[in-house]
Amino acid sequence: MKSCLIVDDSSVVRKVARRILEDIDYIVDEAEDGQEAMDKCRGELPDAILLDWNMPIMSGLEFLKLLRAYVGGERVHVVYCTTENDIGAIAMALKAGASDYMMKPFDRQMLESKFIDPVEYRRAS
Amino acid sequence: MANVIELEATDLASMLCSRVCHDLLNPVGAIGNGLEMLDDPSQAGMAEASRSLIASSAKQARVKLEFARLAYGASSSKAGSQIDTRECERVARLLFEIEKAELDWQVPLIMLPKNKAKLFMNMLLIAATSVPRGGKVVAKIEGATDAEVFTFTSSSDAALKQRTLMPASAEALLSGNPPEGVDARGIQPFYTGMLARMSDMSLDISLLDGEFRFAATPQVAAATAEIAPPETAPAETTETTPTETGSTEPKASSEGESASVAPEPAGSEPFTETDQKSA
Repeated sequence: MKSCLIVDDSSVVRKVARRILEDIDYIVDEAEDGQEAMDKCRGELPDAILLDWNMPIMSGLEFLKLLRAYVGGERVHVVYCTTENDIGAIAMALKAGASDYMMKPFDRQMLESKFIDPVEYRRAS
Repeated sequence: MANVIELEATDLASMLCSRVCHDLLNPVGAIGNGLEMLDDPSQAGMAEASRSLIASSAKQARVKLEFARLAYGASSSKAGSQIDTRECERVARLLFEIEKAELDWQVPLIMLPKNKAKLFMNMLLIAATSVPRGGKVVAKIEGATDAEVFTFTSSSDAALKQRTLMPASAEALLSGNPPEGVDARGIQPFYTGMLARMSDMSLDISLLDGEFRFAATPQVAAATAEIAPPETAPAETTETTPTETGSTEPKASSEGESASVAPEPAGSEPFTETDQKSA
């Protein structure tokens, strides 16, 4: 089974995303900020990460830079999740190494479409 | 010394609206997700969990709305009107029902000018942000009428993996002169600084030895305190800049940060309100 780490300081977002991702056969883990996420990645890298941008302690941007510099971290499918429709912010996330992005609020279909097969995604890229 | 950034009224309005939208997006989005699950026959076994998600998300949305109405709004009250600290307490306690930290409320029952009440609530939010994984926030108001001192302290327990930190860019945003400018992400602390200047109060923010401290002091009292030591230069009141605190301790490490934010004269503030000064 594939694994996904949900990184978001909002417990309701984590709860919703967990439910949807478990339905498409992901083993899901959660972190409420970038630092906790990095600690978990040092233990075991997930196949995919749903990443919020604005978080206390370590932001999504800082986390993403660390992750991409970490051995094996370049292979993780990272979907940047934002409330902002600012194209500059989205471009910054993609430049920092995000594989894809998604706007909040998201629905089941949108989230599934971003995570349906990150293994295939990695092969393709 | 640098000048305070003066936002256009429309920019301030749009940034504050963005902030409120950002705060509401997660819980409102989750209500939609919960309803989506309830409508999905394949999710029938999750009905109870869906209702629970909807209930908790609706509560979060309501709390964030109530907080925003008081901290950024309160526009329906007349100019010059005052706000009861009981209303501040009610909203503060609601906020801490969805925050991880505990609230220790040490505030007397008094009436505060609208902008001071809004300042107090915005400072409370920043204090809550300083302990994102939980801890304790103490909120205090002391001093005589019209010369109140607001003090917030917060601390956390490292053994519980909690952290106490200086909210990102808080000092620069409070000073009104962040080097990178201000956007929707930084508007709340920036607005807090504006409210302090409109209320003729000086802000002091620090993180020392694991304790976060955030205070607002009447401008006159702050100026007196700064003038008192003979070797200290008089407070500059026409410009605002983050500086070392009144303490002689240098800013030695990332764990110890402090800044004093001197007020801008109210007249230079582009969003002056008629009730900004205490009677």
